[in-house]
Amino acid sequence: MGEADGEPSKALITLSENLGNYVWTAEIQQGDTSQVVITTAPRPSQNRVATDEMLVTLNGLKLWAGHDRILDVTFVFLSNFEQRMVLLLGDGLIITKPEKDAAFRKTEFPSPRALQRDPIGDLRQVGHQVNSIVDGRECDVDVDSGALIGCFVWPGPVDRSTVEVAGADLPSYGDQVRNLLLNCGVRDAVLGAGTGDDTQSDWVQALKGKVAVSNTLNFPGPVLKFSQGPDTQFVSAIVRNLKDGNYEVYRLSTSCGP
Amino acid sequence: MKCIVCRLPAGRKATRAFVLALVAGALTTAASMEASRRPQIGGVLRVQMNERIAAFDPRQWPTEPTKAAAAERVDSLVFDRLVRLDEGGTFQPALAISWQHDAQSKRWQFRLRDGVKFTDGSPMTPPVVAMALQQLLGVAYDVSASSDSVVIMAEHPVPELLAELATGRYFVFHVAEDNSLTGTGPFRVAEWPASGSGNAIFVANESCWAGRPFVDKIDLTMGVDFQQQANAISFGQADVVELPASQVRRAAQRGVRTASSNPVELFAVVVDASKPAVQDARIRQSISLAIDRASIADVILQKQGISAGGLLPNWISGYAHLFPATSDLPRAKQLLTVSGRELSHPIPLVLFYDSSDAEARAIADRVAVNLREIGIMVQVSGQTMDGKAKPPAADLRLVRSRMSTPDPAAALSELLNSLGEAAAEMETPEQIYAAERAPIEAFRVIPLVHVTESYGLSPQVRDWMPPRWGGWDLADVWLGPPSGAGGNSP
Repeated sequence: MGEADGEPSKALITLSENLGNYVWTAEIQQGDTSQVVITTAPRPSQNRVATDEMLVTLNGLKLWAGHDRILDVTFVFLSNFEQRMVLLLGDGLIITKPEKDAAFRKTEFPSPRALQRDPIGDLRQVGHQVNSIVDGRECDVDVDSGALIGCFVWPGPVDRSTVEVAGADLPSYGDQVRNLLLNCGVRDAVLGAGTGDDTQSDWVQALKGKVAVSNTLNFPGPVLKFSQGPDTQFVSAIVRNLKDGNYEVYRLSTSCGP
Repeated sequence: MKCIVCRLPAGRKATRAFVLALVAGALTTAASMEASRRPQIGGVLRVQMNERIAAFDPRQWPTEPTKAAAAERVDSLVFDRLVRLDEGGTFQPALAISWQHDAQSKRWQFRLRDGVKFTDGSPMTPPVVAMALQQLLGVAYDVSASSDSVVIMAEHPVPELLAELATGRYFVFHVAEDNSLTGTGPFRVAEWPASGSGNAIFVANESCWAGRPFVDKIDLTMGVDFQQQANAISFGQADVVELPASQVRRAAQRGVRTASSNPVELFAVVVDASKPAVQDARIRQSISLAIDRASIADVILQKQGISAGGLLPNWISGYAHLFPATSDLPRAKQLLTVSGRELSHPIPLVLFYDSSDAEARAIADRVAVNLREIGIMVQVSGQTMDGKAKPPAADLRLVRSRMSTPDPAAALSELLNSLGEAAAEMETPEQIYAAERAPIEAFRVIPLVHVTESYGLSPQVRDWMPPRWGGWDLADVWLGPPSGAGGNSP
C-alpha cells in the first residue's frame, strides 16, 4: 500500500507459472488508473525424489538433466583415480564429474548413421578407454583426454525382430530388475521399477522376492534403463521426465535401516 | 575385423549376451530383462479423423483453424521442419542442427543436418530447403542457400521466426520428377485418395534420419463423423480416433482409453461493434458479464473445458488470473439500464455459429439462454464457416480458434488472426498482455472457454505421447498386445 498525489495505491502481486517460466504479476491500482507489471524467470528442472521409511533406505541423487536422449551411463576412473560419469548419446559421449551441474565435455562420433527410433546403447570401461556401442556401431574414447580413438560399424542389416526373454518373477513389480547387493542382512534383493508404460511415471523399490524391503523412490517419468558399473554398490537409473521431456540420470544407493 | 567379444572380461556372460544380441541385430538384451517394455516393430495403425485433407502439400494450407490443425497432423507424418519444440516449449534441432541470428533478428542462418535424404532418395541440400521455405514464407522473406546452411532474411526484425518455423505449414519438402512431394519424415505416402475422401496409406520410411517408426503402416480414414469414430473405437475397428470434448467422459465410461492435451482451443464470441445494437460498450460488457462460462465448461463440455476470461490459457500465458471469467447478472442488468435499455424492451441480436460444429451449437444456445436473462433476445443461426467465404455479418459470432504452439506470442497471434483482430508487436510479457487485453477490454472479443483436444485409443496402442499442445506423434507409437482393462492414459 502506498499513497501518491493524494490517491491511495494498492498492489496485488501473484506468482504463477506457464510452460517454461515462472510468471510474476503485479496489478497496481491507483485511483481510477491501473497498471500491470509482468516479469518472467525460467523454471528450473525438477529435482525431487520422494522417500518413505522402511527397512532399507533407498536414496536417489540426480546427477544430470538434459534434452539429449541418454542411452547408457557408466562411471569410470581416470589415470589419476578421479571418477567421471560417462553418458552415451546417439551421436557421442559426454564425460563429466559425477556432480549435478558440473562442467562437461562432449566427444562427437563422426557422421552418425540413422539410428533406430528406440536405439540401444551400452558403455563400459576397458583399461583407459570407454567402449560404446550404439545400434551396432562401436566407438572407443580415451577417458583421460576425451579423444575419439576410433569407430567400427558392425556389418549387415539390423534385424528388427523383438526377442522376448525370461524376466524375474515379478510381474506386479514392473519389468526392470538388477541384482543389488545389500549389506543390511537382506540377500538376493533386486530393484524393481516401472509400470511398463512409458507414458507413466515410475517408481523404484528394493524387493526380495515379492516383498518390498525399502522405501519407494518416485520419479518424474519412466525409468528407461538401469545401469550398473563393475561394482554393485550403486545403480544408475536413466529417466525421461514427462514434465519437460528431459533425460535425467539418478544414482541410486542403499543404506541400512529406515 | 575388430572383435569386441574377444576382449570382454571373463565371466561377464550377461554382457557377452548383450553384445551378441547386438551383433545379431536383436533389439533387446537377454540379460537386461527389458524386453517386455521395449517397443515392437510392425503392424498397421488404423486412424480416423473428421476432416478431409485435399492434399498433403504445405503450399496448399487451409485457412480455417480446424482444417489447418488436421493438415498439420497429416503433413507431420511425411515432412519435417527445421526446428521443433520439446515438451518444455524449448526449440530443439530437427533438420537444422544449429542456428544463429544477427542483433536485429533480421538475418537467420540455419545449419542443416548432414546425410538426410528425402524418401525418393534425393539428398536434402541447402538449395532444396531454401526453395521449399521460400515458397512457404513468401515474398516478405528472402531465403538463400550456402554450402551447408540456409539463410532467411527479412526486412523487419522477426524474433518470432523460430516459433513460426516450428509450427504450422513450414515443412521442408522436395518436388520429385513426377511433381509429387516427398519429405524426410517418418512415413511416405503410398496411397492418397483422389477425391479427398477414403483412406490414405502411409508406410514406414526405413531410412528416416530420426529412426524408422515402429508401425509398418498407417491407414488413415478421413471424413469420418465423430459418432462413427466413437463406434469404431468401441468395436475395435480403429486404433486412434478423435473425441469431441463433450464425448470424452462418455467414451471413458464405455471403457475406451482416452488421452487429452492441455487446453488448446478457445471458444469466444466476436462482437461486431459497428452494428447499431452493440455499438454501446456497456451493452457489450453486459453480454460478457451475463454468460455463465462455468456451466459451458462443466455441463456442455463435460469438464473438458476451462472457463476463459482471457484469450490464452494459463499454461501458456501464466497470467490468466488477470482476466476474470465470472458472471455477474446484477451488474450486467445495471449496465443495460445505464445504457438506456429497458428490460421491458428486449434487444434483438443475431448470433452465428458454425453449423458443422455440434459443440458450437450447444454453446451458442447456452449463450442465448444467458442473455435472455438480462433482456437480450438472441436469434441463434448456424452458418457454414469453411474459411473460404467471408465470415457472415452478424452482431455476434461464435468462433472456435486453435493454438498450435506453446509460445505465448505466437499462440496469441494465431488467436487474434482467427478472431479478426490485428496483432501488434509482441516481444515482452507486457506487450503480449497488452495485445491480449485490447480486444477484451473493448469487449470486441468475449472469451468463453478453453478446450482440450482428445483422442480415443485402442488397447493395442502404446507410448501415446503427443505434444501437450495437441496433435500427434505417430512415429513413436507402437502396437502391443491388447492390455485388457481400459483405463485412461496417459
